[in-house]
Amino acid sequence: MIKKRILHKISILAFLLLFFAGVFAPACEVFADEDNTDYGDYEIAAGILADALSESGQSLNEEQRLYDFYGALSEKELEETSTWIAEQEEKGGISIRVFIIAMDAFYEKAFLEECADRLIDKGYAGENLAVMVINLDEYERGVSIQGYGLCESRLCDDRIEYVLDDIIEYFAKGDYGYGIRLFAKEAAYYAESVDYYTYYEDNSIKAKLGRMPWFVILVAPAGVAAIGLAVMLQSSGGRMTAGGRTYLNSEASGLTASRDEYVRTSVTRTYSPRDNGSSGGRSSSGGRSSGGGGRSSGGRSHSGGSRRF
Amino acid sequence: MTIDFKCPRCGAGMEYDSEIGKLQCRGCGFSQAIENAPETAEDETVAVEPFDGAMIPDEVKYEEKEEEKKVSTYEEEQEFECGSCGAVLVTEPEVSATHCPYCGSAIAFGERLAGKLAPDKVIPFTISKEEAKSRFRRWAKNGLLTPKDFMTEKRLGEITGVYVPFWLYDMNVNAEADCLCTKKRSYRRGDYIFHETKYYHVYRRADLNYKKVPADASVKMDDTTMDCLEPYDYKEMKDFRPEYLAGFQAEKYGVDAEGALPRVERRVADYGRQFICSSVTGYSTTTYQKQEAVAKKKQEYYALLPVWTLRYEYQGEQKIYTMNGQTGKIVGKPPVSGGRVAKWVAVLYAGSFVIFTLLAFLLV
Repeated sequence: MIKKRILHKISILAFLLLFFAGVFAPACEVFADEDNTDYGDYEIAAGILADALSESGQSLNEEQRLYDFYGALSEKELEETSTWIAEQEEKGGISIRVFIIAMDAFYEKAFLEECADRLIDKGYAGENLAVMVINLDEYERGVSIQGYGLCESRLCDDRIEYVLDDIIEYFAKGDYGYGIRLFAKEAAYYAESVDYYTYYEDNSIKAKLGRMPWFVILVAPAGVAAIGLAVMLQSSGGRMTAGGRTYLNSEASGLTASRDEYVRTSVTRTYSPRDNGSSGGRSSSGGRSSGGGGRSSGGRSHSGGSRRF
Repeated sequence: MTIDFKCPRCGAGMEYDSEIGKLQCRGCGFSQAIENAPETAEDETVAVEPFDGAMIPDEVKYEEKEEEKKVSTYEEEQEFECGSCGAVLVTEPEVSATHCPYCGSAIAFGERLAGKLAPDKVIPFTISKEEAKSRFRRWAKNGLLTPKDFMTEKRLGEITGVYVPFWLYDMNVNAEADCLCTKKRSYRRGDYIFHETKYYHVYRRADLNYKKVPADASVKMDDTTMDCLEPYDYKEMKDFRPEYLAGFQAEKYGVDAEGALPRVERRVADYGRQFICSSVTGYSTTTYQKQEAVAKKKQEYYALLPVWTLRYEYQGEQKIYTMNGQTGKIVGKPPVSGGRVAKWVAVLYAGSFVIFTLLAFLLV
């Protein structure tokens, strides 16, 4: 008898442990460090950048906006696009850098983080940085975008997806110059616009109080008070509580006939394509928590998104 | 002719005591059961037998006097003489039992309780006057919007126990429904979502019997208020004896059985339709093409059911509050205090304001 009780308690304890483990494990994963880039990736990414710079005879600097390690753009296009990017930088008040390279797509995220850290650490770009890499690897072409500083909220993950929606077709058909110019324009546009997630920027009490919908806060309680008063008035005075069941003689009552006859079936269909994440699909990250935003090795958090073409 | 309820020991008036379920003498305290074997009195010489309608013992001094004077027609006010003090009473035509306003004796008017006016059943009062006062007091106190000075002791003193006439109907309902029902489901195949709908023709027929569905037969009492006092527990229902009326007021019916029937027919027909609808289950949608219920009366009973009433004037307005004399359920709209309304509005507004502000602050 005692053994049974002990076994019973142990089984309940085990169940509870498994249950909460099952609940908390995903929760922990959600709250886990968003930096999901392996440290080794940074080293490889740094190596890729170093190789690209040395092979092309370039170096990271303050003036250069566009680093074409692949040779995808002509001299004229390079110059025009760089000028365009500089103009957009001024409009948006941010820094914009673009890299064109061929590399293993796996390291795109780490590569951009490495580039951003170096550019910002060395003062070649401001803290508010929008950076893009166009990967022209023959097996897996794609583009990745990240936003740092102000751009993390102004050019958040969702907005990066909108930008990718607009530019991906140009990259797909090889018009890299136009795609880059469109990216720069949209990055500057979002940099100027109202925060998508304003709490990233200013979470002080004063700022929060300023953003609160005071009209709703003042009017909604009046509605609640009115509803509460109506309920109190309605519930006073008594109401009819006797129904059919009260007087039904169940022993002498019941269904005398019951028929359910099948007649026919009709089927309609609607077209609703699946989101498959391949060429033309959305970011392969599938969401913010993987492959999108993150934190660089320098500790800088950023927004992000990528797409294959 | 009046029926007086006199104590066989001392001759004082007797009244029905709801707490003990017996007639009790106001003078000597002697109590006597109505339908069971009588109490064994201290004085062995008093032999009291059960009050069976077929056999009224000599010891029990129930005096039935011929009416002294009949001034007006049957439907108008009539004069009766009190059997205890001889006072002449004038009553409204619907009153079948009351108190003598001079000596306080309980009186029942025999001719208003005889023949076709004789009730079949009665549910005696279970809640005493003191308990009724206590319940009214508690109800008034618990009212969130009720003024504090609403239910004063003086007002509670005017509480009256009344046996209200009801017609109780045994009804049969034949209900039928014909409907088109569907079952829906959706599923995906590749890039398409398929919506499947299966159609069914559903038929239901029911034969339902309802027992003792009440309908208020009093002209004075509001039908809706009487409906809200339901339900009564019919297990406590007894065959009618005038002794149950001793100490209370009673009314005879002002609406006859045929007059009250249509309301009950509509009510049980609704019950029948609800029953049929509740039997159609398991479908996504139901469209009724035919839904009917026909109610027929099988039997009717004329019963007196107990109600405590409280009528008074509050701030120039006539108010009436009623309580089920068996279950204690209270019906009536209490007055609303402007001050309490303002207080509750302020409390609800302030509380909601704090909650909304906190939520907005956290979410913004």
